[in-house]
Amino acid sequence: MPGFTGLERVMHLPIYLDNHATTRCDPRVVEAMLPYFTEHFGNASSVTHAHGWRARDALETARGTIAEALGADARGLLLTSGATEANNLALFGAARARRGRAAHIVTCATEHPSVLDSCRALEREQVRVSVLGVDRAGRVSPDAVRAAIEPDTVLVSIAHANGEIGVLQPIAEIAEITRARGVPLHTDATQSLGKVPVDVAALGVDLLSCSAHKLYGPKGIGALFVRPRPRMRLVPILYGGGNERGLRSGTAPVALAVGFARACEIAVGELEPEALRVGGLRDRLLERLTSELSAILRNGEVENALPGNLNLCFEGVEGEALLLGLPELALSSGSACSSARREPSHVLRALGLGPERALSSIRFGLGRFNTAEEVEFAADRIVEQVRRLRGVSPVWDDRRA
Amino acid sequence: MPEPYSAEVIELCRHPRNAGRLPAQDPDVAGGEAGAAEEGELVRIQIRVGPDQLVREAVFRAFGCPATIAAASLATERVLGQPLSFAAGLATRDLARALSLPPERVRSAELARAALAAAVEAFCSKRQTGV
Repeated sequence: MPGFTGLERVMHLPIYLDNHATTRCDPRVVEAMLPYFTEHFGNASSVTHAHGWRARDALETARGTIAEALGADARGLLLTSGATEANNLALFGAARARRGRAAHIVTCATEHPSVLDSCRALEREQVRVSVLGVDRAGRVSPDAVRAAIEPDTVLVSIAHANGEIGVLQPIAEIAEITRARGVPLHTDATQSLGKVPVDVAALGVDLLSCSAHKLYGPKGIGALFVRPRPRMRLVPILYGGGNERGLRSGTAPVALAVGFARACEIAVGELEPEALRVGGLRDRLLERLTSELSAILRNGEVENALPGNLNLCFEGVEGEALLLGLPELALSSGSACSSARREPSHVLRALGLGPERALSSIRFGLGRFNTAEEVEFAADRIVEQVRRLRGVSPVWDDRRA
Repeated sequence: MPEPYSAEVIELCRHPRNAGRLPAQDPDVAGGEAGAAEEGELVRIQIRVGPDQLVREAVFRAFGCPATIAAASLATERVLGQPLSFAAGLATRDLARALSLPPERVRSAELARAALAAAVEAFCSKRQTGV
């Protein structure tokens, strides 16, 4: 990589601080997967020979391990291509199970596009959608969920943790309400699985989406847990060989499933010490930045958030310009300047932040492979660049005037 | 490199030229601005014009995406030493082309042009009222 001066030998540059976008596949996961690409390559649906039997064994063992990580019954675990497909299946599957009768879905404004855009598409199928707002911390009020439920509500879909601000939603409280009203509850646990305890029974959910690549597993596989007893009725969105109990046709990616399972095993096994370590790194980063720079605002809240998440607004500095000054760091900002319109993040807007603050925000996602040295280096560089950009910023001039 | 910005934008955003401020009270200094902080982009440009009508100094302040910072910096570079009329007529498309801005980022060049034009206008009215 040109422009770097030997540091890459000590640290992997750019330092990866975007673990909400994706994570590096853990070498232990890769090792577990490898034999399933070459030696044990069989199709788990081939019932007539040993290659198929072995693949089926590996697939079902993996399913069991993934289910165990969720405290779930393996019979309810459908493997998908990722969380986007899992979310689509949950929403379309539940809404279309009404077979044309009136249907209503409750969700919230900070959901992932795979939920919000599915809802928009369902509106074209005459499904009504209530999109709930959130408070300044990004939390949905269980009372608002209660008030939004209608007699024909087929699903409430609220993510467990938000991928931008890391806030954890009060899913268990919401579940009490949905259960009492007989409405199924779906949660997208893509960001939370492996970072904080995720247990379908404790959360009280009927459907749960997750994805391997957010917890140091491979890209291309995720899962939808569907409550098996009493069985939650869904209509498939993919048709074909009738795999995954008829709900998700397509040849099972056995190697990816094995990787997903190994990733779950590691993440759940190491959850507590790792959450403490990553939370410590996050706290150190915040402490360095707030002690050396003024006018930093935190989006979201410290309590009830993912340990590796930090979403900060550096007043007077536009996020994309800051990131361009930080080629040694891999981070993401609250907007995408390269897109036709500079749309500030829908999540930050839902918190009630104006465009100026949203566009001045940076998302940090610390993870398993980050070290204390990397955090110190990142803090040094950020402080330097924020000071530099504030030095040319008219907004900063006005703020100080 | 699959970066969303051109090499020119990257260079000028990381190492902007002519970032700074001039004393606004000086009779030969005038400034203009374009954009709004609330919209996420604000450019201010100040110029100092000599008795010969040449731009002696040009400085900018910019809040916005990399293209906006780069365009503001480039606008000041372009007009340095040039007649006031050149500054008044600097075109958005020239800035956009020099920075290889994609169509959706031409607004950054437009902001820089508008801030510069406002500075020229401010200088003219300052001179008129001053005379």
